[in-house]
Amino acid sequence: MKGLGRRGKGLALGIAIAVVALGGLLVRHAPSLRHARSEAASGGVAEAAGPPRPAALASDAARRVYVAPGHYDEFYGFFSGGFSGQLAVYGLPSGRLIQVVPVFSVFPENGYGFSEETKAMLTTSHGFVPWDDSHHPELSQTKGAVDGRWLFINANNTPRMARLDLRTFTTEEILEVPHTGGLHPTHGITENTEYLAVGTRFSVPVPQKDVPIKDYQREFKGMLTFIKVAPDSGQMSIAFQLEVPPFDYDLSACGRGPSHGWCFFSSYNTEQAHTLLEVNASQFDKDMVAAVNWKRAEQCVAQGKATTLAGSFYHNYVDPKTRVARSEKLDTTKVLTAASCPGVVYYLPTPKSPHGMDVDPTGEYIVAGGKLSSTIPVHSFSKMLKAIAARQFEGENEGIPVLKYGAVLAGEVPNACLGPLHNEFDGKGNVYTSCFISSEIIKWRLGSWDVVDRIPVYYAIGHLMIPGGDSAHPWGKYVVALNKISKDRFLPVGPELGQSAQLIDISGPRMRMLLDFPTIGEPHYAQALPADLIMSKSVKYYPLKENRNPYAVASELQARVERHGSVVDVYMTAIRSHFTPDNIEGIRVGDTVYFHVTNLEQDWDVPHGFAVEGARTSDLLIMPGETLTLKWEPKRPGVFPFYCTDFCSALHQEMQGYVRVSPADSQVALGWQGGGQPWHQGAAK
Amino acid sequence: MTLSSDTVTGPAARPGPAPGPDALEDGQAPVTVPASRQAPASRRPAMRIGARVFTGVAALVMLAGLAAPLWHYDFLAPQYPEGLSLSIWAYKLGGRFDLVNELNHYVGMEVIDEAAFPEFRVIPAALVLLALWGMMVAARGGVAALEGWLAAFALAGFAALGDFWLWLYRYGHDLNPRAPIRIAPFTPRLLGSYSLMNFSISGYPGLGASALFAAFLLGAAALVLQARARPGATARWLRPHFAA
Repeated sequence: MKGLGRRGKGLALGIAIAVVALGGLLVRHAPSLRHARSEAASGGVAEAAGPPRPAALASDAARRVYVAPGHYDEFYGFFSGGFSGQLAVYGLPSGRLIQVVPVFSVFPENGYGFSEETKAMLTTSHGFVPWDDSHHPELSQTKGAVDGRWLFINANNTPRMARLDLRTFTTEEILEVPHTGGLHPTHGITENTEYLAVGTRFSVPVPQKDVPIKDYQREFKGMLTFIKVAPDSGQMSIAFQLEVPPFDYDLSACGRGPSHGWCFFSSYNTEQAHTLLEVNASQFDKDMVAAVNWKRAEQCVAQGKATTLAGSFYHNYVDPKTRVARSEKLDTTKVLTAASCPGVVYYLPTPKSPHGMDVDPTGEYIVAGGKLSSTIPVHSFSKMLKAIAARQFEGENEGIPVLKYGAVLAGEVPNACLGPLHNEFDGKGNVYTSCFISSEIIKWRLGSWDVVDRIPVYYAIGHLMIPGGDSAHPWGKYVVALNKISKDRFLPVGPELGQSAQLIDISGPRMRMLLDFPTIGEPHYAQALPADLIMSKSVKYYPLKENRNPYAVASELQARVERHGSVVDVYMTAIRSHFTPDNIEGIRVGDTVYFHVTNLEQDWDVPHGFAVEGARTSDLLIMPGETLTLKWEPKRPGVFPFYCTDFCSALHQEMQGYVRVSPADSQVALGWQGGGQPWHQGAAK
Repeated sequence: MTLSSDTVTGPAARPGPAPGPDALEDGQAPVTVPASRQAPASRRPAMRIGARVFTGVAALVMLAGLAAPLWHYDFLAPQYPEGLSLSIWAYKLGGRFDLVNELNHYVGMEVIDEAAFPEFRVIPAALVLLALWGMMVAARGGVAALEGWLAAFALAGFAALGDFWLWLYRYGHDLNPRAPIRIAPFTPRLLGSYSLMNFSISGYPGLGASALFAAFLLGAAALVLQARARPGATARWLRPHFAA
């Protein structure tokens, strides 16, 4: 500094101040600059290939997703609730949450899993299980197209499949899948809903027994299960199971068109590790896709080649007549092996720890998500058949022929992205692949394997979904990114943040981000269909005349209270704006009281609720024409109010009543009143 | 219509059909009519074929009054954007009376119950009888009978509308004094719109009532046709208007 003159010192100070100020500005704006940089970098491959990305004008995107008040969305979106165990229904493109349908978890807001009519739905071989983890909704198909009749969804934890009826948006059936641990590969459905192809994620001892875990390779088995779906009723039953080596089977998809008759299961852990899988199951360059010929399996079963395996499991369903859930315990399944049924299963080597498993709309291409590979391998169904015919095997794995990779490969998408997981199709020859690690969706062409577009998503995308995008006839207008992390996308709400979905326009040559919307639980996978397909079939109420619940009453005149020992049955009616009876006496501590509440309304959107103080069950939400039953075990004397919980009318607040509970040895007579009628004496039976 | 009254005072003043019983009603002496011209047909003058066809069609159209709703009421409210529709048939109630009854109880209106209306037995019988009568008139072709039939038809129509109005009056006035919401007594409108609480309600005729009205017009047209062709055979009060 010494050599500098006064002016020089001043200049240096000025520069120093300027540098500090500029640095401060940079730090201050780092987040947005980083954002801008990532936006600029995201084009990478595609900027050269495709036309320029249209400016993401907020107003334009807003117009694309705006559904004016009173208007309907174009699509129903069915999003799994992940660890909530439920299914959420969103309107697309608005992203509005329309309904949450309880499936695998109890739902106190409407009594699902608590009411006497619904609690049987959650019965398993482990007893009553109040929670599960729902991952993959799958819509029923006819001729490869989404038909809007049913939606199937899995329970990942305690292995089960559920069926929802899309006329009522209710869970109608739950089938437990035995000899299975973690029912994850579940979005395989055949083109006419003949079968659901599901499998084990965590191989387990078959049959279950007490063995040292280190005996994994000897005692554990993989099990792939084919669930038959009755064409008219939709009722599910286990047709057969296929015993396979104890890998972790990850996702499933079934063929269509030329590949109808086959289903495919991706797997990882061909290493057969049982500890520290993140390392031990990531050693091989290639894992296996199991190709199962279910028509061959049908032949083998018909020829009596299946063995009968003992193992109890539960089948729960809503009786179509009474609408009361019933459970039946089943004890055996039919099991095939590669040895007992040659030709039923082949392995396709696939790099590396493949996750997604998707068949394109034509049925020719079988696309895997090579999770730990930078390329996306695509198998050809026709080459697979030729390779099988020419016996182009590179070996066997526990008796299952392993086809040569080169003999079945249609092509690889090079330098696709990091962590490719799942693939959906737009029906125009494009594949959209979710990339977990690089947090983006890429778009590439079937046949040329060229990546033509990519778009960043926020953050860490798992599945993605195009309406009908896993069927023969996609509606390729939108793709929805189902993200695992939302982080800074919404207002912060403490450490636990909601997850997020993002709607992306794919109608043009370039993808355009339109909307973020938060979701319930984890939006693991989703399905969507055009609203027109099902909205006119939506049930508005249950006809009272068809109510066959054994505790239903057809009118207020039949309302009554009956004692059967220490059980008291209250046959109650609800109609705007009163319960009958609304005064009940003669209940004693120690009694079990069942409130059988029939909603007498026959109009659209007039449910009544029922809640009673001290109930250790839940609320009831009773749809018009329906009967639901709440169990109540009063623990102390007193007079306890009950009331309607669903704001039903102008006199909703008046919709209330009292139940008097007397000591256990009380002589208070059973009686009731209501509906403006005089006091009745109850009948002891 | 241009004839002066004196040209029609005497039936003999000009050629034409002989006066029938209606001429007697006019107080004219029967002796002024030559006995030779008193053919049986002249007491029941024959209708022209066109008039008979019109009468027959009118009788058939009447039966449509059984096959379609006579009257409609449409209800609109903020909570019922899709509307609630009631229909009143000759023999039954249609539409969501159950829902309207459910709503009516708030203001204390009586439950509207199909079984409470003897009309549902009387009106179909009356309609069938009137239609049969009309067909008989068409078949036998009596002008006087046509006039009588039309008169009965009109009378029945007015009686039915009056009865309808009385019921409306009753439902709007016999209000339960213990109803949760008290309203001033009112008479629901037979025709047109009115408001009650959050509902806007419109009453209007249905296809059935329209058919009945059309049937009456057809019958009247038959009479007009007849009058234009043979003024002498029609009632005196019609003659100045239709005599050619």
